[in-house]
Amino acid sequence: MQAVVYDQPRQLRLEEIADPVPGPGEVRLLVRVTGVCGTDVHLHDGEFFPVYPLVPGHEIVGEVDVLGDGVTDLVAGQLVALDNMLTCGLCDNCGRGRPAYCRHLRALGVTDPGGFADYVVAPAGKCHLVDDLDLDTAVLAEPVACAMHGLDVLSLRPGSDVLLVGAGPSGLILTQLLRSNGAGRLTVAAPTPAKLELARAFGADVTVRFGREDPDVAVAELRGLAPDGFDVVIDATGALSALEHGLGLLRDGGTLFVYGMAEKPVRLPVSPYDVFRRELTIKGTFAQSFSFDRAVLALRTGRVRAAGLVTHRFRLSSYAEAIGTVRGDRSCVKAVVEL
Amino acid sequence: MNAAVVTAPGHWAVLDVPDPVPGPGEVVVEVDRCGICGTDLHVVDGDMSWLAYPVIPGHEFSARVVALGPGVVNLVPGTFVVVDPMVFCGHCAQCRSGWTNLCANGGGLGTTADGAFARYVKVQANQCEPVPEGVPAAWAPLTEPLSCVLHALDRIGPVVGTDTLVIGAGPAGLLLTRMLCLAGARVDVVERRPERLRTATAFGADRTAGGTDQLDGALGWGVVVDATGNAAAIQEGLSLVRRAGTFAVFGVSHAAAKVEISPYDIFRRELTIVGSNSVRHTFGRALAVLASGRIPCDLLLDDPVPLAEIETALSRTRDGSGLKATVLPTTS
Repeated sequence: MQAVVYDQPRQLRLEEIADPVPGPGEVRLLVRVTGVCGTDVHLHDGEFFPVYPLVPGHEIVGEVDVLGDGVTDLVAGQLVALDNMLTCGLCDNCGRGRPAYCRHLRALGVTDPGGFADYVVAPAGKCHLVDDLDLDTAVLAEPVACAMHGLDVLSLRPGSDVLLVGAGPSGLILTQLLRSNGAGRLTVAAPTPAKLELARAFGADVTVRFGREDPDVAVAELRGLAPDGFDVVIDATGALSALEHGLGLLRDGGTLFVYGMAEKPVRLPVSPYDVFRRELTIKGTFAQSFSFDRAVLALRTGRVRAAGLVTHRFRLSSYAEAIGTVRGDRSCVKAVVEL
Repeated sequence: MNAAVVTAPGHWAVLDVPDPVPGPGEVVVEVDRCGICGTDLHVVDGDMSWLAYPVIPGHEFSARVVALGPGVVNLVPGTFVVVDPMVFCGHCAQCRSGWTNLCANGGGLGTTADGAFARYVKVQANQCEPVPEGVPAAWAPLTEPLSCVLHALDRIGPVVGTDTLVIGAGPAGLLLTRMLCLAGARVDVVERRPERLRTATAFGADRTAGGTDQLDGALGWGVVVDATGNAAAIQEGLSLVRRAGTFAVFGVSHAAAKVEISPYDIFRRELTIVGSNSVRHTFGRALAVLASGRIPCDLLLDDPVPLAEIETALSRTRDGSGLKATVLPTTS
């Protein structure tokens, strides 16, 4: 089969490698579409603990192709979205119901061969049926599962006044989930007008253009919207300036929610006195956890819609171009590789 | 009446001041005992820029109702009460969304209004909570600090079976240690003063040490609570939280202090940092806990002193040589 293979950071090639064979309890999927995510850009740069040789791709939708021994609840030809996280189930963090922190975590597309290939092999239990979904919708299952887990961690008080900074794919998925999961008012702030338009279509009550060149204008507008501050500010950008502004826009008792991934060396100065006196909460969320089935349900019921999200489509042979687009093209919302 | 009055930042004296008179909805109470807290030192030192002076500090107190203002129906003279010192307006954005302890127009007895380092205090009738049978009079002033601890537990969330680290074993840290144990946590305590570590053990700590380097916490703690307000301790404590854990800012830092947090860590390790300020809807529960006898309060209380000797009690609080100092404003 053909696959995108890295032997070291930034050195990728399209290679002919052996077709994988499913072991007991596993299935082989014929990959139909795999989403390209910011994590793939980090992996391209050698970040996020890749194991080489690396076949990336963790937002995978495929057709059941070959069943391994003992697999009885799947049938060849079914369309499935794949939960790419493989946990040991035995370590302390698994024991505490924290699979994303499994001490022996493997992840298809990070430590094990992923979906930028003709075939991928995975445990049958990680396959979620999506026969009734179109491919653009089904490919959102993994990022929606991450956002769903984020809402688990956030524990949003119903009716809260929420500011979401960032309208990339994660931001736009969060927009839709927040709309249907308790935000009393949802304001989305981001630099790109076209993405704000999508945010409005997906249920944002208010959008504010948050230009990087002149953030003070946006901050003043946001302060006008919520003079006492927002109950919850969610950063879906990972940018320090967004976090700093977000902290300043919280109301007393408010929560700053760190959803986007910041660069590792970045530090946010925080006043412990303010955290105490204003009873602020700062919390973060990482990956997904027991949320894949709910993500598929949200896609099935239209709580999360794909319309307008997939803006760029690539073939396996132009994967390098896909990475460049996700990294630098502001017109790109969601890029996918179709096989 | 006699009262310890802070006349200006850094200046205080025991003075004769007019007795308070209750207005509508208010009562005057005669103070039985008033605990001394770090906040009182901040008031004396003038660390809170928004306070108006002169002011009488003291907010951890028990008292007997002596005079009712017009319209008071829930109390009768003679009732032994503890007083929730939080003053809130009830109509600002914070109050209306339930955050009365963060009231935009509020404050507290002993900070923005006269407190209980005095024979008499004027309070709202609805701030008074009758002390139930079974709470010794000497323990009643601990209702307020225990209420703060219960509020912190409300902010932290469930701790059943959680490895917990308490930084600082002053009175607040010790009460927190005890309540965390009662709430199902396994609790380690770090504190520089060896004599306080022995008290921490008596309060239920599983392990105690002078520093975290003496404790094996290789995986970190599921909950870390700072009860010191020291920025260096907070900075270190943040690094000791295990994945998906919570750091609680319970101690009062200096307003200008800053710590640095890594947003990447918050994301990657799913950390929660949460602040807890004073008391909200926890006075009744605190009294119930005191009445249950589950807190070895006697270990916490220094010998009380009369108001005339308050300087001794203030300096013992400041230098940490005692634990919970209390004054007896009606004893000469």
